[in-house]
Amino acid sequence: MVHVFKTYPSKITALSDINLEVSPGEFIFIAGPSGSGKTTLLHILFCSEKPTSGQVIVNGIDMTQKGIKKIYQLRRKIGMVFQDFKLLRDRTVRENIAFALEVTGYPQKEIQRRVSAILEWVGLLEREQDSVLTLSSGEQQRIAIARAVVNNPPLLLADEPTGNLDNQMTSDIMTLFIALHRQGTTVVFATQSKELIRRYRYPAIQLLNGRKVSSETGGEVKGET
Amino acid sequence: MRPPPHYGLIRAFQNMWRNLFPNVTTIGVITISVLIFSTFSLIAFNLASFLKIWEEKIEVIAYLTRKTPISEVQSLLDKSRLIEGVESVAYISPSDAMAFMETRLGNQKNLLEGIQSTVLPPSFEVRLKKDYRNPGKIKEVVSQLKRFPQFEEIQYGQEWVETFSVLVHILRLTQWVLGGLLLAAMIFIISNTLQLAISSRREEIEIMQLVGASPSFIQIPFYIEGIVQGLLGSGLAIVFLYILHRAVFLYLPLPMKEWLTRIPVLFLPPQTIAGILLGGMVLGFFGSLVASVRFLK
Repeated sequence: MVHVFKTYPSKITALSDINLEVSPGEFIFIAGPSGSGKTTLLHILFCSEKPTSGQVIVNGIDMTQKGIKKIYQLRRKIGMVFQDFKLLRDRTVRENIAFALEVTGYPQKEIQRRVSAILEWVGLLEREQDSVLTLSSGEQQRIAIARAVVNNPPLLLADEPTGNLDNQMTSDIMTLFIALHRQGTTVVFATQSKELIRRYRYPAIQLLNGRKVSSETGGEVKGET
Repeated sequence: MRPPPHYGLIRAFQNMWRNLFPNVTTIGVITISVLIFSTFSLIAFNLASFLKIWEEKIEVIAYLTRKTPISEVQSLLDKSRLIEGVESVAYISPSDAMAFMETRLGNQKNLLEGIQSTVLPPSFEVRLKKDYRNPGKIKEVVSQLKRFPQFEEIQYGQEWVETFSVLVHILRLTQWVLGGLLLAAMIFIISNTLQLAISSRREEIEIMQLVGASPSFIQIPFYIEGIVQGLLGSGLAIVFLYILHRAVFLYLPLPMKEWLTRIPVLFLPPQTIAGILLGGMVLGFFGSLVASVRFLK
């Protein structure tokens, strides 16, 4: 991201002159309190929002200049995980994960193979035919992560994925993110939790009122978070 | 990688099944709209066919003066047949006219007892060509017939022909104006109902966009759903209209039923039914196109 600004029509400035470079295979925390611009930053990286000015360059391509076709193709290479999971409530666990592969045209055999493998990885293979509504919050987030990474995206964006979870569930979810990072996935992880940043010691950038106020190499966070 | 083409069709039917209530509501709205429109078409169609039957029966009666010698009848018949617009001319002698009256009176023919056929004037029954069975053209033929002094009086039900003709023109105009307004209202209602149905799936659409679905992948099932809803809605409307059409005959009072047996009340012809079904599909498609463009932009 190069000199990215985002101002909403209501004149609220969500991001102001943000420069951010994420190298392949990196794990980075985006830290900051509620309203600091973390979600807007992730949405711009995901191309679901356009910056008011500045550039978003992915693999050398300025995505702010491209039409809808490039954007949906780019999204297939980015996994996204949300605090509220965003699962289809009327489908089973298996159907929710398979959905991500179906929309991109994977053959059915390959879909079944990948879904089974990813469900085993997140430890929920035995729940594959259950409705997602019967799962706990932690289990739902594991399904959301499974859906985000089932097609092996090189980049994973996470918008406060542990925000609604207790300590044990947070630990379980972080284990999955760390495993993905170790397998080579680039992870951009937004959080309000200073504790999480201290514990996992990955580089963090600190946002406050839409501005980048500090950039830490890992484990130390200054400011009000 | 692209999803196979039939996948859109499968998803459209899965979506319809999963979102049964909004789909049933949309089909219901289409059914009611198309039923109103097709009822209107059925009435217009029957009026048009009634007019056609009545037009077939339009003829001019030219009464001969009683002084006309029988020897002149043949040459007058030949001359009358040469008039432009005349299809055929038949001579009705006083005794033919009496026989006709007796037939029409049926059981009450004794009313004619003591009446001599000579009181009835001889006449020519002039049948007109199809293009001449309207007030303007009839007048042209009548003015030609009036040139013959042997004709005492010429009748063709002037007032009735003119009034009926004006009435039919007004009905046809009303059919187009009301039909157009109804069509516009139908598109508005259907596109709004479909938009509600689409917005009830906001979450699903958001997730599809999230996992990298192409815009066509998201939109095509909605178009298919619109077409299927249009087909089912208009098909149901035709079925209900047919039931209504039959019920009208079943529950009508007997005198009205007897009267209606003289006028054939028809159901819509197959090409009109095909047109309504096709129209329903087009309507469903455009309804979902408008709705999805508004919602997915």
